[in-house]
Amino acid sequence: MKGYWHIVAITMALSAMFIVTDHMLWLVSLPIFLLILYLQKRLGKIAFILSLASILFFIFYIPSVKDSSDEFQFTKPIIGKITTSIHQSTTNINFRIKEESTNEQIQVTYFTSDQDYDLVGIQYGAVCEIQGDIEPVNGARNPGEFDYSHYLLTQGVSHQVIIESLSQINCETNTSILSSIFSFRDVLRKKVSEAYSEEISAWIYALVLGDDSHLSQDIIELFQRWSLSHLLAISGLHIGIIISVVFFILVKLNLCTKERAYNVLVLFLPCYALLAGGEPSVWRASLMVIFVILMAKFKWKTSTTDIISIVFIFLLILNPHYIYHIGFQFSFIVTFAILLSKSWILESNSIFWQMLRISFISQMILIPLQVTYFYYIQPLSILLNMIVVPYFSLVFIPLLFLLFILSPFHVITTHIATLLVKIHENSFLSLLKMIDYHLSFPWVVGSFPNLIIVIVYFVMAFLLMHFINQNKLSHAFKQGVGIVLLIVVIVLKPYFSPYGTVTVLDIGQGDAIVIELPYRKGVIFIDAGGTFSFEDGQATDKVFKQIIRPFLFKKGISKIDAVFLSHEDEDHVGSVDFMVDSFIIDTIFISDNFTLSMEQESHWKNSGTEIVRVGKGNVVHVNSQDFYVMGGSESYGNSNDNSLVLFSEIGGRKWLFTGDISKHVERNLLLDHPDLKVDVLKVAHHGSNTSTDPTFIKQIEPDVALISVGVNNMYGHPSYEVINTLDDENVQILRTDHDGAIIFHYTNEAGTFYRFLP
Amino acid sequence: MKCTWCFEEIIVDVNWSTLIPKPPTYLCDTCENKLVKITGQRCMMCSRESKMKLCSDCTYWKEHYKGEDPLTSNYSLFTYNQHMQDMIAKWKYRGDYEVGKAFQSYFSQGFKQKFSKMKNIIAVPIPLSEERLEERRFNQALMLAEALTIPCEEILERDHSEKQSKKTRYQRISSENPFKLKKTINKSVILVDDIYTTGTTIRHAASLFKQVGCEAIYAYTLIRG
Repeated sequence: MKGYWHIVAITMALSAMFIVTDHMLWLVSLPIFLLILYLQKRLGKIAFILSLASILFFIFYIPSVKDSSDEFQFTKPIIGKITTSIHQSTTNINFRIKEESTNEQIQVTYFTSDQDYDLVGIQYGAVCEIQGDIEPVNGARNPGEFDYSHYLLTQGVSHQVIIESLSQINCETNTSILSSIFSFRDVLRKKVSEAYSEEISAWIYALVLGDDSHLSQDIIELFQRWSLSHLLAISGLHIGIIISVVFFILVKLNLCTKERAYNVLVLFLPCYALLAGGEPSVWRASLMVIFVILMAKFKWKTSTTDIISIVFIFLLILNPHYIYHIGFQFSFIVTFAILLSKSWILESNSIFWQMLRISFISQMILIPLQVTYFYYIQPLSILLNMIVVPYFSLVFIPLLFLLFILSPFHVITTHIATLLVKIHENSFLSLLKMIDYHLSFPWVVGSFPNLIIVIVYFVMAFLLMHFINQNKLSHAFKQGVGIVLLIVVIVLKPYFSPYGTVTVLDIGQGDAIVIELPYRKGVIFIDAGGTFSFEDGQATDKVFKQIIRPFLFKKGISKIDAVFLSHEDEDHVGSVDFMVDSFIIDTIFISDNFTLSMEQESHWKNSGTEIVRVGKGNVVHVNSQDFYVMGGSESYGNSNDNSLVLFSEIGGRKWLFTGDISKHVERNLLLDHPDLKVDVLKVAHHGSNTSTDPTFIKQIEPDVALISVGVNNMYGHPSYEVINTLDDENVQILRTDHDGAIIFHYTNEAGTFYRFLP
Repeated sequence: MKCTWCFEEIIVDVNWSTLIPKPPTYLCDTCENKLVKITGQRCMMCSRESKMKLCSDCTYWKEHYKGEDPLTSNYSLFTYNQHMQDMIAKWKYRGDYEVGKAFQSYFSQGFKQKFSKMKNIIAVPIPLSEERLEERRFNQALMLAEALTIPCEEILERDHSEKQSKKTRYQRISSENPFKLKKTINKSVILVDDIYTTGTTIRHAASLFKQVGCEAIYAYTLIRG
């Protein structure tokens, strides 16, 4: 069995992949493949049987992601035991409890920006009584949007309780080893925060104690953009440093023998794994080291691939939910690929080439996962990793460990620490930001069309590495070209698709409509609303980051041909400022009456965007699509009424986009176009009763009315008058507050409407 | 699985090329690396490592037979270094049958690379005399021939004589032909033996096949001595 554990682990990983992606039929291929290996004497009996058993085991063992939130009735108050450590971030604290009567996992969240709360008794293992209501978990409402509800379900959590005050919780503590470790973690955090400034503490929390929630969102996103997030997750790197520190203290200072030091490590590493947040990547690294030590101790010889495979199997059996965990997936795939490439990496004597090889293998093997989760790849990150990884592993992380250990003597270290972190922020971070600003050319891939393509990718990557290993470099080069071509084909796929879509994004109370023409002849926005914070009235990037950007990335879009902005209100234009920074926008069309601030104008123009004013009677051609401008030239004295009104034929239907015009503008529209007939009407002003006059509807006779409106909005939109008017005329109503995004899937002849929410 | 030679446990080094496992090997990496494969320039006739296309031995044979050499060519896999000599001694003279299994896999791999294109050809192992077989209990040449993918026919017989390895070079080259053919054939033949030293034994056998009109007579041997 030695030297064959990876077969069991790979079989497990593949069966998990087929089960998770709902490709149960593919499971049949695994026993066939194993049987062939067995018959060719490539696989021993035990490895064969264990692999077969792992498939069967997994069919029953992998938890399915099904929403069961309606099935359970909970008693009040909710009573349960806390099963996680208490996660504290700058905006909230949260933890999970196991409800006593149903054994269901419930996520408990307390939103607060005040950091001086007292967590009396709230700790791992405590049994708590919570006065609160089970609330539905928000799912995704748009294509590409992060699905929090699905995320919690993959973790085995199907319910949540949000509490307003800690007085709603009453806990009875149970002290256990785990709870002591977790409370020791809190003590350490407190010590660190007392000793150092917020910035330094945030980095120590992240890189020593495995909690990145205090780092600024900008940094986390920067690291994510450049595939550097692995540095923010505690993994092999950090464990390596821990081992050096422990060894240095124990052996070099002559406190004990090497053998003793190994024993200490075996006991200490699991404790550190818990202290560092217990993420799967920490467990992977710690357990692998523990295995290696034990193997050496008992003189068992085995290969490193066996060790990682056994750790993989062990962790997955311990917690099957890990299979959905992105950190778990990334950590194991990368480490396994590097272990397989060991001889190729070590073949070179120069550290530079070794680093480049490691970086190349890691990025290449991760592409399918990277694209699945983030929709883009950043080819230059291979090079950036080569700079950042050594800096973090040799300088920055050891430094933070040192500061952490010295935090009791902070009187001496504070000033040095402040200085060092200043150097870090001024040199390293500003360099990183500069690179990000000038050299960020993310390759927006979209998504892998299906599982077969993912498998083809992995087979090609496998062959590439096999040829490299055999030193057949011309074969390897051909495979490499093949891999690039495969990705190019995925990127180009929309350009061969006869289907277009119109998507009314559910951005809450506001408009953002995206038209993708068939054969990707163009991407057109009609409005791109945002939200603004009530505190300072500034537009926020929430809609852009959470809805618009992931939507475009998922579709593999990085260039927008045209954006029509009906009028200057925030709920129609609020995301444009962010879009011009991250996407190429050719032209922004606005009406003659659109009030454009100097600041905004220069910002847009500097991003390479042309601003074109259009008015009544103009026809705008965007590649193959014509838009007739029907309104927006007269000045009515308010921005809503000045809205650009657009008419276009899409997918064999006549569409009217009305912005926020009110009833008297509708009447004037009819005076201009007495014979206007429409199939699809974007209902004006989110369904407000100041618009959508019954005579207007009677005249234009729409079949479908689209209402872009926020869930439980404070304006009471859409008004019942508008709904009644539309019902009276038998117009089918699609509204974003009920349906999520509304999607019209069409060819040049015909199309169908879909609701994103079931 | 333990190494047939040193009995250390064999741990397969899993890399991209062995991710899909290969059939088990009999020797560990260390022992395998002590065997030296014949690579680079070699004599086209007898596979000896040589800068010349025809080595001095083969030039002798060419003159000896005056262009009528019964042997078309010999192909060997390994050189006869000290480690190989130790292994052969244990295999043949001390009768450790298992050592031969380690050679079988190399022998069949080498065959696939060198002879796989040949059709309508049989393998004929160089036999032992009855007395020697009685003493040794297995024929090492037959063991090697059986590892090949082509049919193997034992159609040679051998008279009892002094061991080849105990004779001087002159005695070997000038000795009488100890072989007899049990039946006649007219296919091409690959003669299989463990070692090609002077080439006399192989040529004795080859000449019989030449007489009955076989087209080409190759030799495939594990070692070029």
